Amino acid sequence: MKKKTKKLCALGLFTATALGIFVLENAIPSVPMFPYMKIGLANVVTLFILFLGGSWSFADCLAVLLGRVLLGAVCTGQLTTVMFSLAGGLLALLAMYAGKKLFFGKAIPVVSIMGALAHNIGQTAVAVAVYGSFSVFSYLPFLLIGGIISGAVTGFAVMLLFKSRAGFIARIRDLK
Amino acid sequence: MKKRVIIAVCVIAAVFAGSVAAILIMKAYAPVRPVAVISRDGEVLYRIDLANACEEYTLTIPSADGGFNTVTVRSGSIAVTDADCPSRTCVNTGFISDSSKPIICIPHKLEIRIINGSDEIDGVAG
Repeated sequence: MKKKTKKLCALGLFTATALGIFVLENAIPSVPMFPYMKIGLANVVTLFILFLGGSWSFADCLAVLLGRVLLGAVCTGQLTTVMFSLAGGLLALLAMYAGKKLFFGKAIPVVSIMGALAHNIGQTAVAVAVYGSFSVFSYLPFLLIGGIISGAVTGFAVMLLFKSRAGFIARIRDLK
Repeated sequence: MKKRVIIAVCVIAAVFAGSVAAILIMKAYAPVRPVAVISRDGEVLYRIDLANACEEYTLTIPSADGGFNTVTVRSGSIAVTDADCPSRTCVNTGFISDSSKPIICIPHKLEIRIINGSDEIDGVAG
């Protein structure tokens, strides 16, 4: 029982961390000319849990992602964007999970870029559905370039996290 | 393992190059006579010849849900300068002057794109 509590506590802390990053990033003004672009730093947490291994499963990753997306919408007051975040986030998680299997848990930045590209494609698909016209596709080239850059940034951030925080990782890897 | 990563990196590089090429191609076809087409929910509301717009002026376009978008027209460029949609992505897109990217306000279903106008369009029609 005690061990289970620890895992639950860690999950809560990860969700809070992701939420904090999400809200902070949301407060940064958007890039002029390209307001639909974001680094998506909150994905660092998702990616970190995905590659943590040990007792950390895909379900844990999904729980933190869903918690962050739903609470993030409440915190930023943008409930209309839930559909976009959810479609993007879930598709990104699936792509990153596939990437992790494909590269045997290595090449984190490549996996991260795959996730970012999937995220942008998912969001564009929702935009097409909501807006009811394919003209939203005009943004896709800009979004894909943005996704490659932001995916690389978050991917390298997670890679550095794994390299520099070995002690912390060893402590939380086998929480049950 | 290494082979798979190399293939993935190549695919990503191809996506990057393809995107850059798509943007450059759209930019290269710069309209000789830029005409802004403003449409709401697929219905064209205005066609504005930007070459003829000497003085800056604004238009306010109401949306179906009671909101608005304020459009500013300048010589050769156009922007949404105010709106009451939640994300204000349309406002933050700024002025556009070529076909490489339209301004789209998803909540208000408003779209402004620039096309290459021919001679039958004169001034503001709509």
